[in-house]
Amino acid sequence: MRKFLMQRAGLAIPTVIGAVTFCFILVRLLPGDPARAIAGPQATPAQVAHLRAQIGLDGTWIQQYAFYVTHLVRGDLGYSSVSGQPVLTEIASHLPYTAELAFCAIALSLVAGVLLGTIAASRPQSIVDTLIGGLSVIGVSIPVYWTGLLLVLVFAVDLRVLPAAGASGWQSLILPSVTLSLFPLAFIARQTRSAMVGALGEDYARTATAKGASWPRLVFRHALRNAAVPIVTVTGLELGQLLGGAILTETVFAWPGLGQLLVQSIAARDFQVVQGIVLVFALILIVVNLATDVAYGLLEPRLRHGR
Amino acid sequence: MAADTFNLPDLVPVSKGGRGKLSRLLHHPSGAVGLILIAIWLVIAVAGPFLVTGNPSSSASYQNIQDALHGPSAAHLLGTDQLGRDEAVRLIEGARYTLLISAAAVIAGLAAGLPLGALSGYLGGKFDLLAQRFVDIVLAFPSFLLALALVSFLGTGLRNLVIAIAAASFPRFTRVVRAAVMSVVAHPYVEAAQALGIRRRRILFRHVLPNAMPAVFVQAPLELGAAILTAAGLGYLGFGVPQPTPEWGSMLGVAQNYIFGHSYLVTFPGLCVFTFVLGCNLAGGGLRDVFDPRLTGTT
Repeated sequence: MRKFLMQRAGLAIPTVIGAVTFCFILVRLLPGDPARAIAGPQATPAQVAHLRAQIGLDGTWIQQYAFYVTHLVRGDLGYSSVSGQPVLTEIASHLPYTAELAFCAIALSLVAGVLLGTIAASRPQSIVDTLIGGLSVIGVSIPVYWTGLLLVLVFAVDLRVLPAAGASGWQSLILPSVTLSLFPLAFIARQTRSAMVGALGEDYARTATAKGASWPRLVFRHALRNAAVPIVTVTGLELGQLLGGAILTETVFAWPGLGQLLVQSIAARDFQVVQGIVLVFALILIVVNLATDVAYGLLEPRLRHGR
Repeated sequence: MAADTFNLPDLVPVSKGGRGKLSRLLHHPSGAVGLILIAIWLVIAVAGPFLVTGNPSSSASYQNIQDALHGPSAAHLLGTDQLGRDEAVRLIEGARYTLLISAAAVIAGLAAGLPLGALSGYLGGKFDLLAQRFVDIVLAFPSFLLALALVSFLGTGLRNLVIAIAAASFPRFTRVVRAAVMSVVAHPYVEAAQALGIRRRRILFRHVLPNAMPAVFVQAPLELGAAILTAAGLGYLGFGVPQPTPEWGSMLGVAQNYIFGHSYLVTFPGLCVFTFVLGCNLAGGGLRDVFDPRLTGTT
């Protein structure tokens, strides 16, 4: 098991290096002089020169890269040109909100997705199955920002039962979570259905039925356990999609997470914050992918030993 | 050439008769709905602006503040926005921008992903390893974040928008083409072609790629849908095509300010994005069933 873990973690290292390099290049894509772009149009040439040295934009590319990586390792992602705070502090104060939102959304989509997928698989080709299949196509096609606005329209503008925006109390978490959950929910439901149709057709399912297992027992104890691997994989893969959707969802609901900070920082041309958030999102996704891989190994011993 | 005396083309199981596939797609219930939705939007995007003429407000740039924020009526079927511009006219004009940006992005993504995926799958070895590591890195970024980050550093504007969205779609094309090429290469006829001494390049272009194309046909509409979502999402955040241009996403972003009292401004642009993307996803699903029923249920 330890060997398996080490091997998987080793595979992630080049990806981390690549992601860091991408973020390094990103700032240097700024049209014209990156230091000038970051300092803003009002800065004097002396200020621009000072900033250039301060954030490691002078010297050769190798020197610049070494500057970036050594600062990064020390947790120094630069400073926000808007608030003057270290980028890491800014990120740390917004990250919990995104984590909270993402957690609620993924929990919601897992429960509802597995449930809907299981129901659909119990009666393949029935009206219920077709209906759930249709809903899952709608779920992956509906723009997340439009879902959010429609929910605001119904629950905040018309019914006035839930807040339209902000983060005050658990009520304000409901609409953003539901909005963000739809896309992964649809994917999980689809994956659960196909995995469950397969599992319910296996010999062990027939044996369990023959031995008198009740329908719920057959589904939850026998079939779902065996269908868990693809469901976990899809959930892990959907997290990247979820983080992207969070940027939009947080903007719709003025939810003070990383996504909103990102959008505000882009609008304010606060590039060091943007660079920092992009890197943090990528690192989170790499860790999640690694965790998915490991979970895969835990759930599927054949994979762990087969290699 | 020696190869021609063996009458090779007959050995190649290239699926002939595209018409059979099309009619099967039209008989596929959800695939047909998807095709119809796409067709409707194509017609609106191409011909729409020529059909809506006749009075001043038929121009997307016409403004009349006195007519601002009127709900749907006979004069303005979908109402008017905060500057008194006809919402329906702007949505019709907007179909062009959405189609232009997303189609260009898919083509660019394919142009990068097809050769990379094909070489990766066909050559294997070190090239494959390096290429896949590279794709892994790009995939380490949530695709919407990648597009957003590129737009924010490269700057907005049509060209950068297309580059940003294409960057998000090319790794998926690479993966799909690579997988398809690898499964084709495993067939005995490829080995047979090699044994006959046919050059590798000819094998790749004549024997492998044509049989890997169905995977691309299935992926392309799905990518078009994803590109539309990304393009409109960037527009919604205010990083799409600059303002007076009637782009669906940016219309939605502006409409959010008027959600209390003028909800139709939120409803219609979103409905346009949704129906277009729905069409792409349904058509993609239908194509998958038509080309390869075994793939049903996979992503």
